[in-house]
Amino acid sequence: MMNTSETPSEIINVEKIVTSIRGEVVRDLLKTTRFMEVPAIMADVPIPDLSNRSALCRFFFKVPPFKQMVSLFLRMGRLLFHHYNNNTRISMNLMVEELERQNRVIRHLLHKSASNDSFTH
Amino acid sequence: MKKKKLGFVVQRYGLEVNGGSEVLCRTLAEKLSKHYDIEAITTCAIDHATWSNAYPPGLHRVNNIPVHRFPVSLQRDVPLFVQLSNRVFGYQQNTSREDTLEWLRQIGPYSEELIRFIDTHKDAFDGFVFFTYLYATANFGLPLVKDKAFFVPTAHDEPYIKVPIFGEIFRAPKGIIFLSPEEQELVHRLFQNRNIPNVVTGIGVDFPQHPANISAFKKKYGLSKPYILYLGRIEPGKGAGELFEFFMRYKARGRHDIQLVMVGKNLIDIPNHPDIRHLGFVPEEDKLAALAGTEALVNHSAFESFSIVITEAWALGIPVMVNGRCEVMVGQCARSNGGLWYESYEEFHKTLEWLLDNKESARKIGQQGRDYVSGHYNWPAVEQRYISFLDRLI
Repeated sequence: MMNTSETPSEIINVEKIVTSIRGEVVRDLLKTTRFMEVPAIMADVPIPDLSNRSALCRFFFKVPPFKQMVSLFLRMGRLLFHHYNNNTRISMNLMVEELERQNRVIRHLLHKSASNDSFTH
Repeated sequence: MKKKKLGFVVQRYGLEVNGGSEVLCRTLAEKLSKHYDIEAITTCAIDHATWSNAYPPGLHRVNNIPVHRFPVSLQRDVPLFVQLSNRVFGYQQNTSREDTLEWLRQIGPYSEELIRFIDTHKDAFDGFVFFTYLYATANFGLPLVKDKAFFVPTAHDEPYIKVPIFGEIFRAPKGIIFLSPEEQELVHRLFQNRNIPNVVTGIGVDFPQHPANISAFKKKYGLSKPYILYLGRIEPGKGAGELFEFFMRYKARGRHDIQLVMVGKNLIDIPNHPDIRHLGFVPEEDKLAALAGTEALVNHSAFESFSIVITEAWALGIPVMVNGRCEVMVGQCARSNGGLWYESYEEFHKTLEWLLDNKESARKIGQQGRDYVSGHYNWPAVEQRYISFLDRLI
């Protein structure tokens, strides 16, 4: 946790505290998740062709557990990669950006699927 | 030299009205009346849920500001509003312009007389300042005087703002006044309207002149434990429901024996929990004492364009903890180093415990917030930003 001892004249940087707290939350999550099992399971599941709307619908709507596992895998994979990066601030920012990017991509694909348009990834 | 005459157009105006945009409008009118001849143009409504006419119509004075009140002429047809909302939010390509305009009227408050007043008196005013992008007063009034209209949209990143028709009002005025850089960036990103002159002014904060009597306040309301404070309307749109859930989970798992004190009108039920204390509306001196005595102010709203309450906390040197999904409040906290933000329950839990475990640092963070608002949001500085901007363009 953040070392909070500082001289009275120093500014307390709140972003560092928030990043440190997020790092703790992530480490707690890693401890409580059977992380290593997830990639093994996912290795047997082919990622669908994202230009194939029907396959994508089946993947996300009709096989709910995999939707959760894809999200979890993406999150865990990047957490593991960045967990060993010494610069926690950059790691957490990159993780958040990546999660947001994945969410945007998934939402975009789902929206296109719902609108009956053909789409490309 | 004769003062320039400005009409401040807002959905509600009065001492009994406590919405953020409305209080901002009234406060600005009173502050800027030293420099301009200001008249408020508004409806007779007090309640933003029903828009029912409560004030008598006609010309009145509120704190020496002339206020033209007009009756709301269209009471919301709820089934029609729901039907139109489904069409509008479904982003259906065949949603007609007429349907969308009717939806705007149903959002309200729509007043034929107010719109007519603006149209027939446009030459009597040097400029108009419209508040709040969402309501009928701005959407139907601003286009009539766009060449002399200034816009204080108080925009949030919420589903409403994505409805295409709002692009018209955001691209029409002579100038736009934003409350935060995040609001400015949101509007520019959504509406590609950087070409319209604009300024970020913020909102001024009043610094209490006398120390608050915290012990008297705690005794009056029977508060014997440390507490975090929620200040404002207690409703789902302000994140109140999820805040209750987070707090009750904390009480079941956390280390600190702390209470959640809520000050404000509740539009949802308050959970029956011994450590959630709802005080309702309290007198101003009690509100200040509640702020002065809290461990931290918590704002769980995801939709803010400025967040007056966190600056009120900072004026008293109180740290804040805010919803990390609100870019505006995260930006305010990061710029000021006056507060922490969280997104999930786990982050809420650890943020709260950090503040309670590190009281000296928490106090310093609150002081940093105070230094920030003192430098950036003192009223003379805010007023000058408005005056410089308006005088340049009127």
